[in-house]
Amino acid sequence: MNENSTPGFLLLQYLDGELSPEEMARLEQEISRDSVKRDTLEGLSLARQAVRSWGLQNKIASIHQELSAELTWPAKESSGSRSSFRLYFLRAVAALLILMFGTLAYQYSQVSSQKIYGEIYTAYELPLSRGAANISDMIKRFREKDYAAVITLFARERQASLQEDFLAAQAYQQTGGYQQAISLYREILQKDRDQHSSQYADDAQFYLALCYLQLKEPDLALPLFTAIHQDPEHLYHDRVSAWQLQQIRLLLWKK
Amino acid sequence: MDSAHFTDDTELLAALRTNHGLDGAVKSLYRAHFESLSTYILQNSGSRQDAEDIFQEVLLTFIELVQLGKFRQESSIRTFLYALNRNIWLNELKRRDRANSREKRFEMTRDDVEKDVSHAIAGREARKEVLEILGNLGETCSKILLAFYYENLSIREILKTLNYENEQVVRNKKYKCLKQLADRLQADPRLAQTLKIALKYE
Repeated sequence: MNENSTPGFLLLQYLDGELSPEEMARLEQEISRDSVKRDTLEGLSLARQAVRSWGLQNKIASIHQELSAELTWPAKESSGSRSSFRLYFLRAVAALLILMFGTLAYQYSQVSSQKIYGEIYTAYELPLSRGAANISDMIKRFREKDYAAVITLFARERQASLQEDFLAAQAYQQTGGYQQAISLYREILQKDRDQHSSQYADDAQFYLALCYLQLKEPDLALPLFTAIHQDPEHLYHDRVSAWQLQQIRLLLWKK
Repeated sequence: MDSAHFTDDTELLAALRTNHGLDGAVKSLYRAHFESLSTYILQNSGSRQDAEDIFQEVLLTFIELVQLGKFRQESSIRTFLYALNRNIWLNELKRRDRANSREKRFEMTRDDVEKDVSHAIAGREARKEVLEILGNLGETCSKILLAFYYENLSIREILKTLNYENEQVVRNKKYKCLKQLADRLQADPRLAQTLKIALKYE
């Protein structure tokens, strides 16, 4: 069959601009009267458009091939540096938290009343009294570290002085009589308040706190040690650090 | 022109409208936009292959719109391509049935840029079907049709590349090849209608 004699061929020539003006005019009149020709024209027109689109797609694909070696891809960790920085930051925070909790856990396991007691404790030093002719027996015994004798002498006293109360409390503390020492320290502090003096206030407060610590009463020891730490004028300020207060707080958790 | 340098959008658009400037313009679009558009795909469940395929689709849709005079320059090329990229990819994800709530929320906030190309996106499947038909026409048909309708070569120029006796034979062959495609489209009105809308042909 000779294709160029078919209506379709003529319509394609019309679409491709290959007809003379007279031929175009004649065909347009036929198209306006003939729905079959209109449908065929529309079909051929759509097919031409599809081919053009196909050609463009092939062209883009070939350019893509040509450029594929130079195409740059974004970094895998998403939108560039922002997410990777966030990830790094989170990892660093996590590591720090693990370290902190690990340290706290270790401290928690290692902290004990005895340990803190040993760190804070310092032996009471009786001040020397030059030229004093009559030094009491109790003081002599205390300086000799004969604490049992100090306790015996104290028991005989009908009206002990503050110093005797304090030396007795120390003797009890040294011999493990913490409850007795606590009673005496508290009595000393009350007498100091009653007499408006502070002769043994700092000492009594310090050693009272130590006795509470020794008896595993950190809740009673903590406020006393805190007051000592916060008072730069306190005789025992230097013995109590913030670190030790933290240790005592850990004891509270443990309790 | 095979240069990647266009001073502004207007210059680039002018190059896209002509076959002569098309190659350079496409390369320029690749260099300027491929990375940012592929980032979106990769960040939204897509692979590198997806990013490459979608970018080519984006360019195809964009260039056809430009050549049909449908790109009104109400936004920059960058903004328009980004919107095209987003929409085409979401359309693809829906097709793969991977839509999630975030994407559905996005669907509901389309702006005017995206409405302009909704028909083009809707015709994606139709294009793919037609391309398959074209691929099945055979090598000679592909050569002749692409040479004439895409590369705008004359029958005489096409004859030089083929082993045919004369121009009339080439003309006849061209008609037969295109008629095959037209008949296939006419046999499937749904496909024809969708393709017509997608190509916005006139």
